[in-house]
Amino acid sequence: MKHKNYKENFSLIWMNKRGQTSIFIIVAIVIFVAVLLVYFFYPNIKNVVSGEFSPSNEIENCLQSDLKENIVTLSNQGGYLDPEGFILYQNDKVKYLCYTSQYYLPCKVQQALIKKHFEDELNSVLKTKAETCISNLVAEFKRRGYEVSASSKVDTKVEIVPQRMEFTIMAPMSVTKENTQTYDEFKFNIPSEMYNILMISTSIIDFESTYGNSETNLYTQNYPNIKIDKAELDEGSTVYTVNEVTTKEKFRFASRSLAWPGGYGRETQ
Amino acid sequence: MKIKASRERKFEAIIQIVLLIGSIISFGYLIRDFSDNIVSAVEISDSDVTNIQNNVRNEGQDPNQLLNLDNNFINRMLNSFVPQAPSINSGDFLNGINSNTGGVKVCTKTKDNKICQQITGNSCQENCEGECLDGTLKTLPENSVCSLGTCIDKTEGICSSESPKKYCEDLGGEWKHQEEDSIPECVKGCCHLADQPIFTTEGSCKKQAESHGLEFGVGADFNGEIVEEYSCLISFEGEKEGACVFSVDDESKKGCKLTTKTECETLTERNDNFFEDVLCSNPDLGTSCLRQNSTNCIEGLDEIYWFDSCGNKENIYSSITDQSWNEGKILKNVESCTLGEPGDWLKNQGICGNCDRLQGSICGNKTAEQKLDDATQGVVCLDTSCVDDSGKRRENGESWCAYQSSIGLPGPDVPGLDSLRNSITNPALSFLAGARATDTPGSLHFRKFCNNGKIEISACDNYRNQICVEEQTPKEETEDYLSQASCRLNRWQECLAYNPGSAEARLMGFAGKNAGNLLKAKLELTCGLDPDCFVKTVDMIRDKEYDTFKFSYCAPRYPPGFDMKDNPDAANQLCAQASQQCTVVYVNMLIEGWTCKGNCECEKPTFAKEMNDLCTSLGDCGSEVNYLGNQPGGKGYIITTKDKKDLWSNLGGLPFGDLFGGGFGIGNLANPLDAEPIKEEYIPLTQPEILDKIRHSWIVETFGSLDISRILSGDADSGTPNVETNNEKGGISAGLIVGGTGATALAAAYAFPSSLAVGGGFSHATVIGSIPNPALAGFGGGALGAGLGLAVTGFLIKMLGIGPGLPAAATYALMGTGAVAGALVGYQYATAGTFCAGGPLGCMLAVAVLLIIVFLKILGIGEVKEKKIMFECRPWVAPTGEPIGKCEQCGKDKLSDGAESFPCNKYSCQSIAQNCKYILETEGTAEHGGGLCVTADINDVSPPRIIDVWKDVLTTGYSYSEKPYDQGFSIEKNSGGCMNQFEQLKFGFILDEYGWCRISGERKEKFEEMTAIGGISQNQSFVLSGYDLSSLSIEGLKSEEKNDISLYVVCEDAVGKTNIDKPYIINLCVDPKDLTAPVINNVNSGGDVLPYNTETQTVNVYTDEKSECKWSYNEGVFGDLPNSMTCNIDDGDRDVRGFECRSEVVLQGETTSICIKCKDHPEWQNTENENRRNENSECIKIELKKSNSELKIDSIYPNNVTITTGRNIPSLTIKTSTSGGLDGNADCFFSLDNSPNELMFETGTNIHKQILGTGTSSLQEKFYSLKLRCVDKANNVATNTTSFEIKRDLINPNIARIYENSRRLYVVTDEPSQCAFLNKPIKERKNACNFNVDEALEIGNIISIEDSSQGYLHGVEFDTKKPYYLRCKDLYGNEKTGECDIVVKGGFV
Repeated sequence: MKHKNYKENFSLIWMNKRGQTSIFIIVAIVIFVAVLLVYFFYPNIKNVVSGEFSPSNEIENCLQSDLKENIVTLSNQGGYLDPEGFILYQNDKVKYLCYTSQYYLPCKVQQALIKKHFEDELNSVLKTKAETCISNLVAEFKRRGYEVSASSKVDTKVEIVPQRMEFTIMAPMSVTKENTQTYDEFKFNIPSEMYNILMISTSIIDFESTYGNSETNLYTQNYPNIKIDKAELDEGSTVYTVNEVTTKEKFRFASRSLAWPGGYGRETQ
Repeated sequence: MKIKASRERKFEAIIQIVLLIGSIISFGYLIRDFSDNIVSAVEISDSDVTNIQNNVRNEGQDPNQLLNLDNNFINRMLNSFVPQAPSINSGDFLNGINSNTGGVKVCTKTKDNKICQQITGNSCQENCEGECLDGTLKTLPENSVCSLGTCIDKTEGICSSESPKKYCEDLGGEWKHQEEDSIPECVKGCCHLADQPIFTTEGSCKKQAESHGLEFGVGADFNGEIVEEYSCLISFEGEKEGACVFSVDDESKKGCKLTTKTECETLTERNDNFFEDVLCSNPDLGTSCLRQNSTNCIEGLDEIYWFDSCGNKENIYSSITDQSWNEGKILKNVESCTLGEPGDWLKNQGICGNCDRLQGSICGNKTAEQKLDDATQGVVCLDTSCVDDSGKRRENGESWCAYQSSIGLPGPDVPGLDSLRNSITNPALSFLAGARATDTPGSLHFRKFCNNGKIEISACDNYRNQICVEEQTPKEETEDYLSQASCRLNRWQECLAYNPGSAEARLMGFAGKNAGNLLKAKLELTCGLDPDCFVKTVDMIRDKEYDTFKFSYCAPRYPPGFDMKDNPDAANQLCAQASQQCTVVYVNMLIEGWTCKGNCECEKPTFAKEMNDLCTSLGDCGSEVNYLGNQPGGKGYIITTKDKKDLWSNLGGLPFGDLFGGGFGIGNLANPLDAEPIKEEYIPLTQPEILDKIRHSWIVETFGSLDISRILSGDADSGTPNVETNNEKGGISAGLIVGGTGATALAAAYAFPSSLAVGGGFSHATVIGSIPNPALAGFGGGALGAGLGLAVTGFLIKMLGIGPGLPAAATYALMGTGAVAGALVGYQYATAGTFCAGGPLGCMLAVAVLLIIVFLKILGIGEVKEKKIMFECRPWVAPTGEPIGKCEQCGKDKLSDGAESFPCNKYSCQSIAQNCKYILETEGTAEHGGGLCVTADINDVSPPRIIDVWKDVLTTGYSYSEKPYDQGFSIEKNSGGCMNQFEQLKFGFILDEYGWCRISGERKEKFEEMTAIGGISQNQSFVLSGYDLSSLSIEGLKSEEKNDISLYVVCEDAVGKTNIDKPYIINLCVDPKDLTAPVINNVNSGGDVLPYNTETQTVNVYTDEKSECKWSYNEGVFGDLPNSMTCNIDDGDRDVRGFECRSEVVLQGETTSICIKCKDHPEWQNTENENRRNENSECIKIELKKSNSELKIDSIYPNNVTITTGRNIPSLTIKTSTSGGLDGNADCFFSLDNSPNELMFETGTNIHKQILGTGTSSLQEKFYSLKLRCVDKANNVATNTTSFEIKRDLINPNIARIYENSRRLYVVTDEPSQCAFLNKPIKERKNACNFNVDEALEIGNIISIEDSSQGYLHGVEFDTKKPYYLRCKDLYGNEKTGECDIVVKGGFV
């Protein structure tokens, strides 16, 4: 009896007009959603499946860790990878960006245009590494069966702009397989507040060279995200560390300005 | 008689005339001399000082002139002003600039890599790597490489001032020889960039706009009228926000984003979707966003905000939600709830989110103490203020000063009011009067700063070269105040410059006894108004008539410190300025005998105290307590007589009871109260600029004119002799004009008693010359005689010098007697014409007076003796012999704000005791980032010695060996066993001195190569972890066995002595227990998927220790597993992966699972230790999976074919396809006639291609063998070999037949061809057959292929009237050259 009822019910559902309509609607929705998914996510799916090869990503991956490591070094050493004229502070060679060996006098700028110099230093790192990365890329293209025509000359450019650092690798190449693709340059960015940090550092150096000292609290009050540590060392040297509290980036440099001898009659340098 | 009288008068007249003329000449000379001095004084005060300042600041003067000027000025000022001071030249004041430097040069690059540094000419060779340029940085020509100017980065619009030319241009900058402020492109203004203001130059503004993708003038603009950064930052409100509504396809309600109109237009590509000042949750918009869904902080903003359900920011949080929601409209901050009120800025912390960082609050995560009343909210306006150690609330950003000791002057220290203070003349009130600087040796000024709830402390510059200044402004509507403090330069050097030079002092000397007052007045109006200085007056005058030792001196209010340890002699020159001499005058009195009559105070302790006050005020000089209140380690000063007899004990030891009611010995001159920090005291931040040029010149001019007028008005009469005397004595200073010179004058005064005071001799002589002639009357002779008697007596008393020793009565008696005698003798002479004939009384009296005078002279009555008391001010000396631990107190002392500690610094440390050593690197042991001060014996030549073990820290269950510890010690387990790898053992030892230690499991050659135990301390402890013995280079321990190990300990003391050559050895044993089963670190089973035809597979596993391993197709305990693996069990067999075990596994079907288990210590197999072995309880499961099918090469092209080409063989693409194996995909390799080892151009999938015959590898006409090998990821391999032949067709096609049918001409060729014709020759060609097929085809004369499948039959419309010149070429381009294949004319061939 029960078995019969089940059968009856089952057939009722299928036979019921409203039931059929509901099932059709559900199936239609499922198909529609599936189509939508394929439509919107197809590129991603394709990427996952075929592991699409992106030269720009390859270059960025190849360079990024090296660049970040060197940015930290540059930041700790006053924008120099191998500074000359530095003071040793917390085991870092901190470059004097403003210095006078004399007492009572404001310092003289040792490195004008610190942003540009930072870029130049970083660019030298980028260029060295970029040549290797481009070679790797060419090899990878070839391994994948492409015919590659690439210039042997690799040029690079680093630009620090508000909120990011821009890296450009100018290595023209064309790769051919079924069709030909041409690349003039590869570009990528690293989010960074280094621009603001360097601008504030420039301002501090301006104060140091003009007035001999810089009141860092003003910067802190005007720019809440900036924290400036000012370590006054012996012999009149000051090590400034300009920190960006949100990104944790920093820039450290040294200055010796308007130094006064330690008590009367201390020997001059 | 008349004639005689006339002669006398003539003689008298002549003498008077000579005297008059002489006086005029002398006076004129003096006036001239003084005028020069006045001019000199004016120049010194005005131009010299100004020049020096300018030189210091601008460096713009000729160096030689600078040097000469400074030398002259300072030498004049100091050498003559303070005679006892050693010669101090300008080099000491200007540091390194002296007359023997070779002048100032500019080094383009120093050997320590600094650019454009001024150095002395003599040091060029030694210090300069680049070129040494003549002149100073300011005087270099504009085109010099080091010329200073402004460097402009044209690209960025950034300017750097004071930049050397070359180094700017080398970087591509544009250099201008102008100040930054005067260059228009360097002037900063307010840049409005999208929604944020930036204070920068216009050029930078444009550059930044560009980098943001904004068009300058549209999305970004620049306002050069706003010239202050703060004004800029608050000037821009940004674009107004509102609701940006957009449609969402699959929702009935609209979406919304709170944004700006610009962004909204970009987002929606429409301009009617933005509703300014309206919240997204406003129901009128019909969005799906629900109001006030959550609260949170926003980065960069202070306040707490509501967020709607769509995540859009709403208004500032308020517990009154409707009020906060504001009917769905944006509510401005000022209209939002109020967080607090003056005095209690967080009053409404629980209900309001209108935080304001300027009023001490900012949005942050709630804490246990600070939270909103609504417990569901996770944020709150956090209090960013601080509470200092005295309990006072400090606002965020507030800074204040804290001091280690008393600062400035004692008592009511109001800078600028020295004149008021100096009006208190009673020395007993000198504490109130502020008669000395109280900053103690070793004390610094500190600046404290409240930074987001945390108090930070930083020391002002060492040696008090900086002082902390503080300004307090009342808080609104409260009685409290807000402090702002900063460390500024202590301009103590300038105080010394206020003191007059020798010329000025000599000029003042004309004021005689008033010179001291004149000097004091001058200093009060200059030095006394300078906030960094004060006028110290040493006043030993108690008897206004006879005492003269009084002078004023400008001293630093905050005296500088010295580097007492590394440069102890540096202070000598400065301290010596307070070295002075006081001349005490004694007179041999008739009754009392030798009696002190002048400057008697100089023999009392008051003198020592007053002079010590001056001495200590100059710097770390004299007798003074250190900042801890401890007595100094040396006298600090010496008081001697002229014969160098030390008066220390008998002068310094005199009690001060008369003045202070207590036993103030010399040692107690150091006032411990000075070491007490003064709470709430502060130095105002805003003080008038000292050495103001106008004020300075005005003072000098005033004094100059005053003195000129005084001299001209006759005051010089009394002053001149004194000055002359001074000069003769070798240029005694102005300070001692009153003291030393005054003493000389005093002695002279005693030589001419008061009635015949200074100048009395001259006056007396004048009196003699002025007495009327006694012969005019009878009594006139008596009167004249009386006068003569008086005069002669006086003259004799004066001449013989007995006057000072006579009481007044005796003097009067003698002179009276002399006058009487003279009167009697004169009367006798006038009446009788003889002196004594009329009666002997007069003569007897006269003789008696004469005899008495002679007798008094013989007795030595009236003799004057000078006793010179020398006060020598010396540098302060740190205490000696302080107990161990005293140095370590550095940094743990109180500050004036109640703080219990401060960053210990070198200066403070060295002031505590002579055996204190400052250590900067302390491995994080010091508080506040300061250094550590330790007791160090510089004579100590031995490294730290272990004097005891530290029992308190030893891990329970262990014990140390007994003494001695000279070589080290042992640690043993009380239970008798050894430490195992699961234990941590803490032990320690105690050194005989402060030091830091390192430890290692093996001997090291360098201290730095060892592992640090901790910071510098006498008590050293270390935790030895059994887990990590390898970090101490302890390797190769045998498990389950006793291993004796030695730990090597090396310690270094504060002076760098280490026992690296003979480390202490700590012995102990470890017994690493093995309680863990083997760990299989690595498995190699041939890959994830095996080839299709695999029958057996070798499985390798690697264990972390020597093991016995077994496997089975089924799970089971180790002992039940049937298959043993072959394992490496020798120590040398271990590789980086571990110990290898391997076995051959027969595969079962497509997938075979096996279970592997291992058991450690195979050497204990079947021994008594069998039960100590550890085995795996869980299987290591390995799945061996075969490929589903064989990898196949399905197709190859070309495959056994002949490829016919023309003369030129084109490239050939070989293709192949694969299937089966893992997934059909494979990497295929190919070769022609060789083994297939070249990866195909396109491979990796199931279709593989390779182009042959491109570039230089062209194909030949020959037979090729093509070999292919494809390998998939499961190592399935498929190979195939095929061949193909390439042949070239070089034969022209032939026309086999030609015919006409139905007006069409048909041509049949012997191979597939393309045929064409001409009806007439091509232009300019004579021969109609001189063409090729392509040319004919081009003009359309094609003969169509009638049979497309074959290409043999060709047909074309046939006009019999025209000739047909026919040619054909085959598929490979072969055709005849220069002739037709056939010619049809008139319908015939």
